[in-house]
Amino acid sequence: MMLLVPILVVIFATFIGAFGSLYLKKGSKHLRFGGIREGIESFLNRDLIIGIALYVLSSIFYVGAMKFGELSILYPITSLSYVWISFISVKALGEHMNRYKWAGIALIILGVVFITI
Amino acid sequence: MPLAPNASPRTSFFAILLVIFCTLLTSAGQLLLKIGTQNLQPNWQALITNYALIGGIVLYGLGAVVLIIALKHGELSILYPFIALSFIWVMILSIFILHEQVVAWNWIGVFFILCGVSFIGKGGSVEPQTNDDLPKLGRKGEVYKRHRGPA
Repeated sequence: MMLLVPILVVIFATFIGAFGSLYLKKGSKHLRFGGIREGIESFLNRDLIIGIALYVLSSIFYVGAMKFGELSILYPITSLSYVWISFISVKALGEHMNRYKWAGIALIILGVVFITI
Repeated sequence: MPLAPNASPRTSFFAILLVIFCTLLTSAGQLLLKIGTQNLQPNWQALITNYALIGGIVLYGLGAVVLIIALKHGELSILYPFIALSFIWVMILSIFILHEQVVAWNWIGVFFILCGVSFIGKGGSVEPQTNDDLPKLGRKGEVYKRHRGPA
């Protein structure tokens, strides 16, 4: 039970982080590179700010969970974010997944498991 | 399937290179943060002269900016998985700079991650990637293809 709480917190953090990436992606559309002032102003758009806030929030949850849990279990769980992002990209951004991309996600997760063992 | 109004542009090679650069920045940042937190002291003077900590935070910030620029030029489902490369860089940095031990399993992990991102790259070159890439009916009924170069 004590071990379960950090795991659930990390899963929640991957969820928030995945939505953070969605907002970073949305916000990146408003970027302009015309000049320094224009560039900085375009960075301060609503979507990017939401995205960065969600990222920071998920990092806080990660750090909190990592303090109390077993790293070799928690690190592989963080790669769940690749799965969420794949679904979100299809649902919210109209992107397409295919067999190669799903195989890639599976291999990456396997790799993260082995690298953090 | 309904067409997404703001479908992502096709992923350019430049965007993938930017994400890889981002992973290098954040991995170096992570190493500096680790060094910085090892000599963390609870007073302001020590905190603002903790160059490793400050350097780590700066590299993380830079990494975020590079990632956001990359995302503008490609699909999230292709670019995001490349972030997994940072696991490899962190492992290599841990060996050479922190003198940590790795086992054979870890190298198998490196191999799997490299295979994984290669598959993602391969998946990105198979059509169609976004609804924008599908042939559409033009106003007068003729089929046209969207411009597909890097944005």
